[in-house]
Amino acid sequence: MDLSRRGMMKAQAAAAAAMAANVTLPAGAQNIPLGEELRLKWDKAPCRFCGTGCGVMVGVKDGRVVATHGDMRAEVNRGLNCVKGYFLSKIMYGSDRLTQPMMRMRNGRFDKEGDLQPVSWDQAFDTMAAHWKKVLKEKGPEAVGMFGSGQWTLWEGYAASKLMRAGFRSNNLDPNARHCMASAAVSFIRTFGMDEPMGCYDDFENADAFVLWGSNMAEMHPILWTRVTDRRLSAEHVRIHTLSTYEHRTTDLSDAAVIFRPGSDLAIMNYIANHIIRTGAVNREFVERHVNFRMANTDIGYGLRPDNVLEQRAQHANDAQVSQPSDFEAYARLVSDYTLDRAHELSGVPKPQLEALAKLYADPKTKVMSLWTMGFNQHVRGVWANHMVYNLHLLTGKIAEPGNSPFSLTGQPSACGTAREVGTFSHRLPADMQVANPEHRKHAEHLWKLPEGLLPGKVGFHAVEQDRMLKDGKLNAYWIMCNNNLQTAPNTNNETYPGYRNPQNLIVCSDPYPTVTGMAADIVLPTAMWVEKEGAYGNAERRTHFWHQLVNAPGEARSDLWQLMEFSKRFTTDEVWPAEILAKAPAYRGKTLFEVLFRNGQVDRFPLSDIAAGYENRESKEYGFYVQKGLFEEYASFGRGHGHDLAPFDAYHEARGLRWPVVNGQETRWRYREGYDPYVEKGSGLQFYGNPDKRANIMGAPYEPPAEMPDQDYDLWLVTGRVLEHWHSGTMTLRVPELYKAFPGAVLFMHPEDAQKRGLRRGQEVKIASRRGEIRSRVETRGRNKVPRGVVFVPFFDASQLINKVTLDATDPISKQTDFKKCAVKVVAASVQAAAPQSAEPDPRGGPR
Amino acid sequence: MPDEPPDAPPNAHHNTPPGELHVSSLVVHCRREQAPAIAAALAGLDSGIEVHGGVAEGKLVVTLETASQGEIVERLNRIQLLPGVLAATLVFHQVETTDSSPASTGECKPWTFRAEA
Repeated sequence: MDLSRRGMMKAQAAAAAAMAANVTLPAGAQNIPLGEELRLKWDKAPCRFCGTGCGVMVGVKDGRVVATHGDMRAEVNRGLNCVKGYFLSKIMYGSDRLTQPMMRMRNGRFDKEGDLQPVSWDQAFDTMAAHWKKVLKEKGPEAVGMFGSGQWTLWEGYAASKLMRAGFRSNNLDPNARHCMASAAVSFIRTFGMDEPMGCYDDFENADAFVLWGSNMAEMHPILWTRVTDRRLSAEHVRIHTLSTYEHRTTDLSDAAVIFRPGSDLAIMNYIANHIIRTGAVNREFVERHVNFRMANTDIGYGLRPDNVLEQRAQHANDAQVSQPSDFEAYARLVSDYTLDRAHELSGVPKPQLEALAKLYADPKTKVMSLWTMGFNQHVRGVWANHMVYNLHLLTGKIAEPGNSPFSLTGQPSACGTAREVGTFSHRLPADMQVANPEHRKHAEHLWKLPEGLLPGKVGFHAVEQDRMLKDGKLNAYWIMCNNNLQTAPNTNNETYPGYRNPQNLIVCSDPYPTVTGMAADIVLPTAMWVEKEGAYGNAERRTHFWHQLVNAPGEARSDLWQLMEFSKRFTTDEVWPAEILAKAPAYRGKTLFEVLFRNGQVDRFPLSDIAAGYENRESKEYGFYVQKGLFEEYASFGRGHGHDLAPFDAYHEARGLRWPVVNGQETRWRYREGYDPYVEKGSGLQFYGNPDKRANIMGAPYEPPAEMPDQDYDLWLVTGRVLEHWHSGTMTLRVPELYKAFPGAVLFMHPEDAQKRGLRRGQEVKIASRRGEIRSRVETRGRNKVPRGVVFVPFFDASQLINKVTLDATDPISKQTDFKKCAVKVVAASVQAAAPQSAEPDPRGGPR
Repeated sequence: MPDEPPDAPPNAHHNTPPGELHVSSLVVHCRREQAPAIAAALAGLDSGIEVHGGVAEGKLVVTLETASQGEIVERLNRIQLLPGVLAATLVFHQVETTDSSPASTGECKPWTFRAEA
């Protein structure tokens, strides 16, 4: 290649980076190549990975995605990309991509004891439908279930919700987002009467202080972390305080790294509340006008099986969610127990650090953005933890305005959009409505043009309960879509896998790759992913964004949406609805579920000619109408006029996402605040209008210990989580060679003194054992994660080291979200001589930071 | 089926085709007072690393020239670990073949399940 060509490429690359960084280069910026030169067709799409919702430009050549770069026009990331997003173009092209349905067969027939063999879609669907019908007939709707995803597109989640609730009349639908942000979602509703943050990413540029509660943003949300560091660099006074149970990249880069004992964050927050009250920093006017006080039921158990002694012993295991009206004085008395001394004793955090943190919240002139993810949410008191951080913002009035922002980050690209807004939880309907509320069900039946009384009111099995019910033989027909639950569920060897192998159960798994879950399933369906279908996601700041189908999926792989709609054709209403409902609505007799759910005059209302020119759309072409538009518009009718307004469908194909509520074409950046939110009445200043009295709730709750703590036999805390290069269970990222090489296998991060005490050397193979199971791993004493004495950390992406064989299936009793951050383990040498061969190459996972 | 969940499925990894030039760019956020030193350190790290500007802002505009994508990740990791670096973020990537052979399209092969006889 000649040098001028090389120089031009470099100039273009530098110009792109300069534009993204808002830096002027001395040489003068050049234009970014638009693709003509490389004969690429560029289109926008949101990233497939985390909940940040970065915009990427996707370059397609000859029917294949060959390049991606950060989208300069996307407000979220402004041209930047993290390393996962950077290699997005590769996630679809792993050599082990599934391209045809597979079924366990023996002697040419389905047999649960057989091996997975290629079959046709018809064979797979026929076997599934026969089993579903048998189970529905013999045991009823409560014996069928589905485990979905915060990675489903909006319309996939919506179609699944319709099929499960209205078709099969079962609320046994839950997303893997249950493991991820159920505690956040539940606390939003309990506090504000409406889900999702009031603020948005624009808070990053307006805050004076960032407090990260159990969030390793530098690795897990790198682009948002870049916005934090950008703010930190642009204003001298800005400070970052990061709380964690171990040191990691984010704590290294923070102004204060606050390392606390697992579970003691509750005590720290109550101490800060106490400090605010004691020093007179309560914003009295705000509290009087906008806040109610409540007291939570205490001693609420740990969401374990009901026969567990910890549940039997708990006073309020069965009414954990109940709270009582209270007042400021009672709340002040409750938190007055949490003195600086007590918070220090419980947490192990040095007192000056605790005081400095409390002062940030108490100082009326410091705008505070609190950020949290799994550290709060995967917590046996996760709902309380969320409440407690809102308490701090509500006591001081630091909320719902630029820079003052309690902000719940999310882990999946559409945890907000699909799991929460569409309502794919076992207790939810679209637009924050609840299945247990008869009015809400009636409204849904009306919008779906379905007979009254059709929708079931009983809350379905949540994620962990689904596994337990599969094992117990009460849930027998089970479809897993767009997740890898055998790897990511807690205590998987005792509570998840047995249910998959239970002879009464048929387990179906839809996935692009042969995951651990797929390998253990009875039927594996090959799935189209990301830009192989038209899609929509909703990110953590209420931003809904769309993409077009840009390439075709390989072989016979088809989208989850097609699979759901196609499966619905195999059932008639007479087979799945009770006779009394059909007697009241005879027009529905003999119709297929496809006809009543998707050919209902609404979903099929938009013609193929509405599809933008030049784009493939496999589902729509097959069914003869614009499927995604019809589903979206029907779904949007739930929220329009109710504070959840979405823009018209076509607007999203133009915009780089819009933050709801979108009213008169305008998105809303700060909810509940007059001047920003059109739903707030003029002259009121601020209204938490999700609640009938337009007030938010401060919820008083104490510190309660975790379900399991280290003892003589199991003497270490186990914390699990992610690493930068891999996303969750690694289904996609492990197929990108560069990411695999950067972090090939999980390791056990351990304090050097803990290792020494056990006679272990760096690199040595060890067994990590709990009361539930054990795995093997290798000791890392230097890596990028620096754990304190008494704590070990193991990431969960590695299928050959299933750390979830070891974890405990304790959940928050209110949100039912698993606590993956706290259980007790011991670590022993795997064998006597097993020190690892020392490599000359530096290990990318280790090394000085 | 075994008593325990199956082992990890085999992940096949692509090999990097020879004869490629990868040009990529990143923004390196660093503490402003350390930016000149970091810029100098970056330039000395490898011949394929070039700093184009952003020293005054503490946001260095850096390009990488490498022979593979793997080297991009490796260099990114090294840059992120330099003292004073707050964040290093990729922006742009372009790959061109440096010889006459066409770049591999990384043909997609279906993963086959083992059928027991």
